[in-house]
Amino acid sequence: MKVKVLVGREEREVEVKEGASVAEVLEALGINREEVIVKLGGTIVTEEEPLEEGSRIELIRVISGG
Amino acid sequence: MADPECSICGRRACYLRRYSGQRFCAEHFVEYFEAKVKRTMLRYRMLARGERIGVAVSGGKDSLTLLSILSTLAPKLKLELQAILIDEGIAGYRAETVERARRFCSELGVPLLELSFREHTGLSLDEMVELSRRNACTFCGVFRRRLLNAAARKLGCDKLATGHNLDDEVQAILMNYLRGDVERLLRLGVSTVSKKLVPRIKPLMEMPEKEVALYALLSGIPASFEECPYAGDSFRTDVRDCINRLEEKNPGIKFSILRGYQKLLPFLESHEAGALRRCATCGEPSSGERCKACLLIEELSRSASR
Repeated sequence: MKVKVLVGREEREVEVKEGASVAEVLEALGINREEVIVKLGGTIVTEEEPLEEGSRIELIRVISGG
Repeated sequence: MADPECSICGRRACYLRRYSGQRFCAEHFVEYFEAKVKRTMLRYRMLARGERIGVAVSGGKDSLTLLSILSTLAPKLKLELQAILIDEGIAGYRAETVERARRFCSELGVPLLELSFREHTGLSLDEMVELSRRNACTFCGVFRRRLLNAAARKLGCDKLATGHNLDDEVQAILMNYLRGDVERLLRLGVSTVSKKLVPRIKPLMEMPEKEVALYALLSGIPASFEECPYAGDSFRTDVRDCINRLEEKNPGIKFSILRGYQKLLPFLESHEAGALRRCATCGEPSSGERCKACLLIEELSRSASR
């Protein structure tokens, strides 16, 4: 299935297996779950949240650094 | 697969604390976070009734979360809060975060003192980086620490609170291990080594960075989530990436690093080199004959006159 991922202003589409979770999408993108908070439909969700075909998640980077 | 549920009330979870297996909904996460920060402050005896607390603020999620939590405790503990902001001079980054800090301090009724690198060293951080081959983080760390301490001392603060979170602490511990810098490793964990140093407290030191960010988002704290433009170049960034990879595979490893360091601290304290003296040039606390800030200023003025 395909899900959409919004990082900052950039939107990407990722192909993952049916019923994949947020964690699997992050893994496919090589993004460490320690470094992002994930929103699904405007609500913050855990990385265990199951996704569906066409789901759109937003990633908020938590690292301020410096 | 069912939606993940809060371990306390069964509502939809927004956070999985992987190192304990607990899940939290928004309401119970905020409750857990505030209780744990208060527990940390009690455990390390960070605050005493009636103290004047300097709070280092930058406009980022860590410092504004810290200020928010301290301001809720202030009436009960009769604390007097004084926010201190250091403008390093980073074009395209600092102006927006400074504005956020100003607005939030004014909303909470906390007085804010603003200082800048330019005003105290004659150069902004951007100009320092242009003049030197050194990494921005070297200048930033040294001058920020210096200005914060001097301001807190002049303002008569009993303590200086900073927003360092668990990730910051663990990165600093590993960076010092990796560099073999035992003196800095020791200073990291000791609150007072000199009468001229205002004792530092780090109430968020046991909260992972991700939890601080989540708290700020859920509590409507108007913090900036922008990454410092200089962060990408630093040794700290390499160490951070490495620790986060380890944490992803071994949840709880950040706490293990912190606990291991705390167990080592009593042994490190017998290390004589940890003592501070006064800088021969400016009189501020220094580990060598002259302090790092004076050495850097001299180096920069040599570069500028070339």
